[in-house]
Amino acid sequence: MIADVELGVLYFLAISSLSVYGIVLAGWSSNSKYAFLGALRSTAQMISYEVSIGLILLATLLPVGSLNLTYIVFFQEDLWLIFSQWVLFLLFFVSSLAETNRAPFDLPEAEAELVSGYNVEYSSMGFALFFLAEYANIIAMSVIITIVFLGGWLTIFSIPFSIIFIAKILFILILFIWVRTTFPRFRYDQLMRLGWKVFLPLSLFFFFVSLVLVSFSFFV
Amino acid sequence: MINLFFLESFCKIYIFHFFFFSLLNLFTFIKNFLYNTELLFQSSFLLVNQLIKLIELEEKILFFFFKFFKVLVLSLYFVLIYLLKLLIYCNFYMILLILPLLISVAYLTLVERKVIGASQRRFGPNVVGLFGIGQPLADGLKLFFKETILPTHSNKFIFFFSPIIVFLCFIKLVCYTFKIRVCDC
Repeated sequence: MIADVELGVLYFLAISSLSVYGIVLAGWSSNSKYAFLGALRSTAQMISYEVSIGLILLATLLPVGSLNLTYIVFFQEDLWLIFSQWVLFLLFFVSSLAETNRAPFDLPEAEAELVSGYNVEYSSMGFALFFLAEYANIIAMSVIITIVFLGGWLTIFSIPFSIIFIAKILFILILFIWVRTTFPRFRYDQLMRLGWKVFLPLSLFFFFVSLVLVSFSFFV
Repeated sequence: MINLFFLESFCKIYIFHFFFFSLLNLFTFIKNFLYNTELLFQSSFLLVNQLIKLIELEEKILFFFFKFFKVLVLSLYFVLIYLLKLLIYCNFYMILLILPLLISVAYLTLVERKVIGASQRRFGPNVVGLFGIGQPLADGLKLFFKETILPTHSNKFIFFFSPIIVFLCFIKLVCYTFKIRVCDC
C-alpha cells in the first residue's frame, strides 16, 4: 500500500540525516587516512547544510501550513511556490548541492587531496552500493525540489501528469549536472563559511519574513 | 507499508558474492600453508612438493572452469533468486517503485557523462550499444564481477555493513519521494 504520511517533509529530513551514520562508519572502519578524512568532511558538510535545508523548508512551507507532500502540491494550484519564494528556491538548490556532495561542493571526493573520499577502500559491490546511494540521493533531492517549489505534477497545456512530473525532475537533474560541468571546486573554509555565515542567517531571515507575511495573510 | 524483499535479496547477493570469492581464495591459502610446512619440515620435501603440484593443478583446473563459467553460474544464481523471490512475495508496488529507481539511477550516470561530454565538445560514452545505451549496464556488470576486498586493518563487520546501511537509507528516501500519488494520478 502507498502511505501518505502527514509529516512527510520531516520524514524526508530524518531519513536523509540517517545516512550520515553509514558514511561515518564506512570511513572509520576502513582504517585509512584518506577514507577517514573524507568521511569527516562529508559528515561535517552534510550536517551543517541539513540545518539550512530544514530552515529553508520551514520558511517555504509556512504559507502552506502542512508538511504533507500531497497537500503541498495541491496548495500550488494557483501559483507555484518558486514564483513567490524564488530566493528560497536558489538557497535550497545550492544547499542541496552541498548536501548531496556534488560539485562545486564535492570536497569529500576531492581527487587531488583525498583519493576518492570515504569509499577508497571499497571495491566491487560495496562501491556499487555507495555509488547507487549517491545518485539516489540526487534523485530524491530533485524530486523534493520539484514537489515543494515546482508544483509537483500540476500541469500546463494539459500535458499528462506523469510526463510533466518526470520532465520537471529531469530538468532539475540536468541543472545539477550543468552546475558540475561549469563551476570549479570550493575551498573547505569557504564551504563552511557559506554554510554557517551566509545560508543559516539568510534562511532564518526569510523564515521570519514569511512568518510576518503569513501573519498578515499575504499569501492567501 | 513497503515489503523490503527486493532490498533483502540485494543484500543477500552481496553477502553471497563475498563468500563466493573467499572460497576461491581458499586454494591459495592452502598453497601458502603448505609452503610454510615445507620450510618447517624439509625432510618431507618431496611429498610436500608433490602435494603442491597437485593443488596447483587443481587450482588451474578450477581457474579454467571459473574463467568460462563464472559469468554463467553467477547470473544463474542471480536470476534464480530473483525469480523465486518474485514468485513467493510478488509485491506489485515494490517492483513498481524500486526497479525503475535502480534503472533510473544507472541511466542518470549515462546522462551525466553525456551532458558533461557535450559541454566539453566531445562525444560521451558511445561504444557500448547504440549511443552508449549499454554503458551503465556494462559498468554495473563490471562492478558486480569484481572481487570484494576486505582490507586487513579494517574493522570487517562494520566495513561490510556500512554500504548496506547507506544504500537502504537512500533507497527508502527515494521510494518515499516518488510514491506520492504516482499510481493514483
